Order: sequence, then structure tokens, then C-alpha cells
Amino acid sequence: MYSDILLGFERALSMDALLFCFIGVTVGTFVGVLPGVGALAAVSLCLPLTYYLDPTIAMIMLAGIFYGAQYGSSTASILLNVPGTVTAAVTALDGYPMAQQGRAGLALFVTTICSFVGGTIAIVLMMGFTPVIASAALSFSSAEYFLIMALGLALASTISTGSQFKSLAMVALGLTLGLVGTDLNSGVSRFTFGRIELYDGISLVPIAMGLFGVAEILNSIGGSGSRTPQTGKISFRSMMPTRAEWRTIVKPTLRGTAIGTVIGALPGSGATVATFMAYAVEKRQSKTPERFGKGAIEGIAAPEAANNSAVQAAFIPTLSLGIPGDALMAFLLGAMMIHGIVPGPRFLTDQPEMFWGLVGSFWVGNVLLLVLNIPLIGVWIKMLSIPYNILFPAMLFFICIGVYSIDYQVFDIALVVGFGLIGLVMNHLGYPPAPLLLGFILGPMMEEHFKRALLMSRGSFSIFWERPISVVLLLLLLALVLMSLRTALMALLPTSKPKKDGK
Amino acid sequence: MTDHESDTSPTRPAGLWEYGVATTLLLLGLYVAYSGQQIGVGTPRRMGPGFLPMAVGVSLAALSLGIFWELSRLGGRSAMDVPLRPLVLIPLSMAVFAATVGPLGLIPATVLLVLIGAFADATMTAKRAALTAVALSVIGYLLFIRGFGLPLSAF
Repeated sequence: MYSDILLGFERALSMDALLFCFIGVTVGTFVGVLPGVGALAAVSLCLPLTYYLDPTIAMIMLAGIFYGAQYGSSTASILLNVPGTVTAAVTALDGYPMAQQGRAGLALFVTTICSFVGGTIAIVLMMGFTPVIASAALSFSSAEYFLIMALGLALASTISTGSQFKSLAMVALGLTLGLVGTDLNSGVSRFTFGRIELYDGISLVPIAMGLFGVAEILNSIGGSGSRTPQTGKISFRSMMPTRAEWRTIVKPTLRGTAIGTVIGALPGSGATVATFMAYAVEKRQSKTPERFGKGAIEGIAAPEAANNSAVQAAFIPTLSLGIPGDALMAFLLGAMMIHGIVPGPRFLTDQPEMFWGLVGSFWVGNVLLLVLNIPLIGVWIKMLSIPYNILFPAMLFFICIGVYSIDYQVFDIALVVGFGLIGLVMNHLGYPPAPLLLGFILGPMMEEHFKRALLMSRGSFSIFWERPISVVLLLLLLALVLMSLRTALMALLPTSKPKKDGK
Repeated sequence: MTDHESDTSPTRPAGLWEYGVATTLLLLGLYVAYSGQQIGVGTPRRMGPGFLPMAVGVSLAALSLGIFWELSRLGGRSAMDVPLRPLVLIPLSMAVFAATVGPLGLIPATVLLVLIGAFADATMTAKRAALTAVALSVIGYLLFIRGFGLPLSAF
């Protein structure tokens, strides 16, 4: 294994890997800094460009965008009180008050350092756990895979806030979209309506770009005007914490990391849950909880450590089992498949260079991000003054050319527009887009495993509860379904009376 | 990661859009299930290509009934307040790009895309739109035709 690790780091330190890692984290920081441009939109914009790259390099770059965005997102939430990502909303709670008190430099420094510490600890854990989990999973049969994926889907869709019915319906809609195309086993084409473009199925990029790119643009136009960042003077000296401040952030950072790593590694609960939880725990821990929300330094340290460690830990289930924890991980998994790599426990043994190369690049990327975010913070602050009405035409352009360059099909651009409009309606009516993407990506794999399991058992469904692992998985799945049904019913039944609009 | 968690706390009686979308999902589910049955569900031992469509369609239809129930009990969005201007101009600009990128080439398509799309924002000025169009044309040419070597013509 050590030779594999060395091999991977050698790959990560090669010239092209360094270059694309740098591009990835820079793009990530950029989209993280800018409110209104999401990491998923950015990753799906870049995916078509990676078709020309070596798969390892492609993954290094795409992953860099993902964790780079987490670093960048704190900037806008501290300076503008406009979070670049959902997780950064927590950072804004105490970060923006700090900026108002003239401590913006300190806040930016602390978030970067805590991000770095959280991220790197999670990478170490990832290096330890991923191979162990993957080798344990090697004995899984198709029945267990099917159950794990179903469990991942159920977790991802039921943990979200809002209507359980709506988010489960989005899983089903995603599964439906995944059905389109030629069935691999029988050669029958399903839901293609005679269009040749659909025989190979709908591709991932138009769906992701529509739901997360175009819909976002449609949502944001006319929203935020230009704001002036709450900077004050940001000199290197103003960024450095005092010794007392260093001492206050050590424990919150470690607690945040612990929460982030555990929550991030569980499928279905990503950085968002971890970040909110870390903030809540810190507030409860504190002897002076009244300072929270008014510029408490612990209030930015713990959540930042948590979101970055969650983001890195999310790679554990994705790379060891092939089970993505959230939409972004699902997208990266889809990107791997486009590059011809089969995700799952065999990934690590079949592609050790790629796995360890990716891990190596995380180290490189985190160090690069440290440099990008501390000495170069001034550049990013300038970026904040780019008006949205220059940004969104540029996004439109990159979306159009990106999707067109996949197959040179005008049809794909039409799909993006269609999914953009669908995404807009979903946003407004509270249908979450992430479960749709998960269902779309996992659906075809689940069908494959389901069929294979039943083929092995000669049509007997008992294969799903024959082995202890599958029994446990099945029970977990049942418990989850019952729990979410219970919440849905609790909300509906008379105990909690629906508010009446006075007629 | 930008999840869209717009405020959807259901307080008001659900409007036409809410019921319309739920109905669409119901019909879609029924259609998918019906097609699955037509394609052939097969037996557990030899599953047909219609098995999953059947299962997914039935679940979608059942879940949409759940949504109906929830809407009638708890309410939902009463209306969609989406500004019309971007809703028309953004899809239009993309359609124009799609129609022109082949016959006219990348640069004219880019210019048209930006000149139409940028005005989705009411505060856009002609000068700013023109500058953005020129800048993106140059970036597009250098990055995609020269850099990545996409088989597209500039004009």
C-alpha cells in the first residue's frame, strides 16, 4: 500500500496535476466568493472541458472546485453578509458582525486557518478509513449494493428540510429521468420518443447545468444589486490573531472537525448539517453564549472547520462504496463514470494511482488554498465588486458552449433550457433539486444490481435478507422509511393544527 | 454547494401552480407505470425492461397523492412570483445561440447570446452589454477554439 501512496503523491506532484489542481481550487474559490454562482454549476460547467484530460487529472480539478468553493464561500458572508453557499450562512452569523466591528481581516484569517485544519485532519482520516471500508465492502454482493444505494437515496432525501413527499417525489423523478434510453439488458429503448439523441439516455451535464445553473440565474436576476464590502483596512497585521485569540479557537476548531468528519462521512448528510450542528454545539458549550451572533470568534472557527472536514470526509463513502452523500458527490461520481471509471469498492484496488493521486492532490490543494486565501485575499475582495449583470451573461455563455461541446447537439442546449425552467418551478414550490440528481445518477446502477441479485437468487426475493449485512441494511432502510412517514403524518394529522388564513 | 432553500413555509392555501405541478407528477407517474407495463414487466426471475418503470411510476404517482394530501392540509405557495423579463429573455438568448452557433459560428452566436440575455436584467446598459459581448467573444475564441481546439468555426 505504501508504494501506492507514494505513486499517488508522485502523480499529484507532477506538473500537469499541480496546474489543474491550481485551476480547480482557483475556480472553486472564485465561485465560492461570488454569491449566486454555486459549486455544482461550476463543476458542471467544467466537466465537458475535462473530457480532453486524463481521468485522474480531471478528477483532481473537479474535486478542487468542490473544496475550493468551501474556502471561498466565507469571504462574501463575512464582508457582505451574503453567503456564497448554504454552509457559509452559518459563518455570516458571527463573521459579518466581526467585519462591522472592523475585525474583517481577523475573521478571514481565522476562517481560512480553521478550514485548513479541518480539511487536513479529515484527509488523514480519509486516508485511513477509505481503504478499510472498501476492502470490507469487497465481499458485498449485488443485493447489499442495492440496499446500500437505496439507503443512501432514502437518507439524502429524508434528511432535507421541507416536505418529505416532495423530496421523495424528486427521487422518483430522478429515477424516471435515469430510465430514458436503451435498456442495457434487453436492448429495448425506453422513453426515447423516437429521438436518436435520447437513445444513450439523457446526459448528466444538461440536467445539472439546467437545475443548478440556469435556474440559479433565473432566480438571482434582479435580486442583489451591487453592495460595498464591509472591509475596512485589511493588512497582514490586522489578520493575525493575538495569542489569546489563538487559544480560544483551538478547541472549537477540533470539535468542529470531529463533527464535520463524522457527519460528512455519513451518506445523505453533507456539509450543511455538519456546519449548523457545529455552531449549535459551540454555542451550547460556551460559557458566554450571549456573545454568539455578535462576533464571537468561536462562532466562525467551529463551523468553518466543520464544513471543510465534512467536504473532505464526504469522499470516504463516495470513493470506498460508490455511494455519494450529496448532489455534488453524486455529480463527481457521474463524472467518474463518464471517464470510464466504475465507482465502488474495487475502485481503490483497480485504480490505486488515481485514488492516491486524488488524495495527494487534496494536500496540494489545501496548501494552495491557504496561499490563495491569506496573502491574496485582496484579489478576492475586489472580485466581490463585479456586478451580477456582467457575471450572469458570462455564465450563460459558458453553460451554452459547455453543453454544446459535449456532442455538438443543439438538442442538449434545449434540454438545459427545459431543466432550467423546471428547476425554477421546483425552487419556488419547495421541491429540492439534489434528490433528483441523486436518483438520476444512482438509478441505473440500482437497477443493474437489483436485476443481478434476483438473477443470482433465481427470482427469490429472500436474497435481500439472507445475509447479516443485508438484514442490517434492510432494517435501517425500513426504520428510515417509517421515521419519515411518521414525520410526514405528524405534520398532517390534527395534533399540529394547520394555520388558518382567516377567511 | 448551493442548495436552493427558498422560503417555502406553507402557510397559505396552495394555489394553481402547486396543484398543477402535483397533477403533472401524478400523470407522469401513471404514464411511466403504464409504459412499463406495455414494455413488459417480466417475472422476478427474468426481469423485463418494464419492471423498473412500473415500480418507479407507481411510486411517483403514490408520492404525488401524498403531496396532494399535504397541500390540502397544510397549504403551500399560493402563486409564483417570477419576473417575466428574465423568464423570456434567458431561454430566448440560449435558443438563439443554439440556432446560430452552427451556421454562423461561435463569435456571432456569442454576441447574440449576450446582447439578448444580458437585458434580462432591467438595469443593464447598452454599453456594458456590448463590452461584455466583446470580452466573452475574445475569451471564447481564445479558450475554446485556440485552447481546447473545439471543432467550431469562429465566423
